[in-house]
Amino acid sequence: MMKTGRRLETRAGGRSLPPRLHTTARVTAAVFGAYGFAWGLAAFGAELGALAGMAPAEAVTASSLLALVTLPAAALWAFAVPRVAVGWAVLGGGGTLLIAASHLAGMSAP
Amino acid sequence: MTARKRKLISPELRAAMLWPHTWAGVTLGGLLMLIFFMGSLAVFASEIDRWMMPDTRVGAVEVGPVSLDHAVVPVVEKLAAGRAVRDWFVQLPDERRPVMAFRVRTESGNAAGVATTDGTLLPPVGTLGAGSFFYPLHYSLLLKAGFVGYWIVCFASVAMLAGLISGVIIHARIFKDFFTFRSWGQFRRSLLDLHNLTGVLVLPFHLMITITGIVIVLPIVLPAGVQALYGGNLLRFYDDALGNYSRPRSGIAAPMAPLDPMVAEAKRLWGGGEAAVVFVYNAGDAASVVRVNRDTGDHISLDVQPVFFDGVTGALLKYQSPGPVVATHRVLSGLHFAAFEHWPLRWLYFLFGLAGCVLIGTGMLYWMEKRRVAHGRKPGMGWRSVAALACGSTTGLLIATLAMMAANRLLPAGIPSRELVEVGVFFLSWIGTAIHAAVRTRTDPPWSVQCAAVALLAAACVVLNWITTGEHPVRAAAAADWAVLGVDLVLALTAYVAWRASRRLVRRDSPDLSTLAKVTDHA
Repeated sequence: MMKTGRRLETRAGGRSLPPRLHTTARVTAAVFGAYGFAWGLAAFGAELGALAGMAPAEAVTASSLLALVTLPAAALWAFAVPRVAVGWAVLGGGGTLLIAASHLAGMSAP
Repeated sequence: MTARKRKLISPELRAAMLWPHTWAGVTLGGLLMLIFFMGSLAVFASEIDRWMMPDTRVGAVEVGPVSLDHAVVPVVEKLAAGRAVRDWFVQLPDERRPVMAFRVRTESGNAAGVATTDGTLLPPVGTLGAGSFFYPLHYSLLLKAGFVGYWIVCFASVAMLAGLISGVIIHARIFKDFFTFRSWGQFRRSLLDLHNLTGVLVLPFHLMITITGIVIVLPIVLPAGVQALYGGNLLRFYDDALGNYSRPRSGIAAPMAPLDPMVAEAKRLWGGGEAAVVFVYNAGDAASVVRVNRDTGDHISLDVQPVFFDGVTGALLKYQSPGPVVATHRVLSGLHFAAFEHWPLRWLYFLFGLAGCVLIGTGMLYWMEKRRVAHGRKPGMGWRSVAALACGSTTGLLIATLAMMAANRLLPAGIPSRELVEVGVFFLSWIGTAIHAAVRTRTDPPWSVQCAAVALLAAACVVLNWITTGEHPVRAAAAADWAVLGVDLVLALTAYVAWRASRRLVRRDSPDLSTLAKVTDHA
């Protein structure tokens, strides 16, 4: 278990996190980061679809299906990316940005 | 192409995928095994229900038009037993379920029952059966409150998807190894081959079934869009997406219009097909609503095309076809449900679902054999826990299922809460096998003993069905009772295979660690 964690660490050329913490960061990024990202994508996509004139139920379903496809890919990417901090930044940060964007889009909607 | 592909899947990427693949499998393998196994059983839920509810084996009925007003409404009144009925629904008979199933909600408590097509109420079935136990266990683990079960099952399903994708990346030489199965070689090697073979051969099905499984409950487990556009009101979303209709009780009593013309009108709107379920909401009220669902046996989509009528006037209230995206969602859901009439496909769903169990099981076994090298002859607590978990979720799950089916044939009809006693038998025997596995796992889990138990229980089920109902396989074949015959034959086959496996496991030498260590490592 720790073997792979360390291997990833050396590949990243990083000093930084001890293996156990590193593993925790990877797993939480894959579980919560990826879900947050998918959430943002589904919310933003739904708002965008509604703005583009889709029926609300259609926009919700389309964006949710799209978000579902990205979810396992995002989760695996959290393990593949050399630096776990980058993984967290993209998934967590991206998810937060998308959610914020969906709120903005929701406010601009009539 | 090859060069690009090699770059796409670098050795680093493959190495990085190994960790999540391994640990998702080790931690969630047991849960996924339960989901895949119960899902496979759910394909034949109707047939298992006939086996577990002998009173409903009324033989093939001509599924002609059942008169709701003459055959159904009197049964509802009988079930209500004088209490004022609030809502009720009836599942109309079909090819696989020759009886009508009722649920009635009255002012004081609920009632359920099963009746023949001519409106004769059958004695209580006294079991949840496959339709109300194995099947809900598959999708919700019976944890209904707050959709907790959906969340857990969907979390495991996303992990399954990630496991399938990472498995493909790890195993990049997919087509070369496609034809590789070295059963004569090392035990660990053949485990890996079997893992890869099922993983590759059934990959399209596994991807499809896992993703469509999540798709069905997607608005519940990923409610971001519902939150954004419907203020988090799931009911309003479903009303909108699926063309549902509801209105509150008015409190003013009113007589009901006849139901048969409504069903006829629904059929006209569908342009064919059969009614599957008829719901009556706010029965006997001025705001009464009748809903007629279409049988999905003649198409893939799970779109039941609900038609809503005013219960008092019989006027059409709502019939709305879904938009293209929601229609796509319904088709994806239908692919998972496999409710369409197609026997070869049903068997393929069943077998491919079991192949998923093989995939998960061989993955766990491979991990155990590989770790054994590191641990030596005295494995540690972690290894033993995983070994016990693997045993409890494979042979243990089979034992629990078969014990419940045996209890179904053994428990007397009249005992109180009979269906809950059966459920108790299921969970107690399951816990029992897990404890047995945990206690007896030293160098290996007690595979052979549990396989023998599976064999004995499966054989006992066939015999018990014979004794208690008089319907042995030959008679079932003569009576063209394919449901009971099919269940009996699968039970007999299970008994045979489990017995052979048990005998072979007894003869198997304990693994020689020196040769195990020599086997080249994977990835």
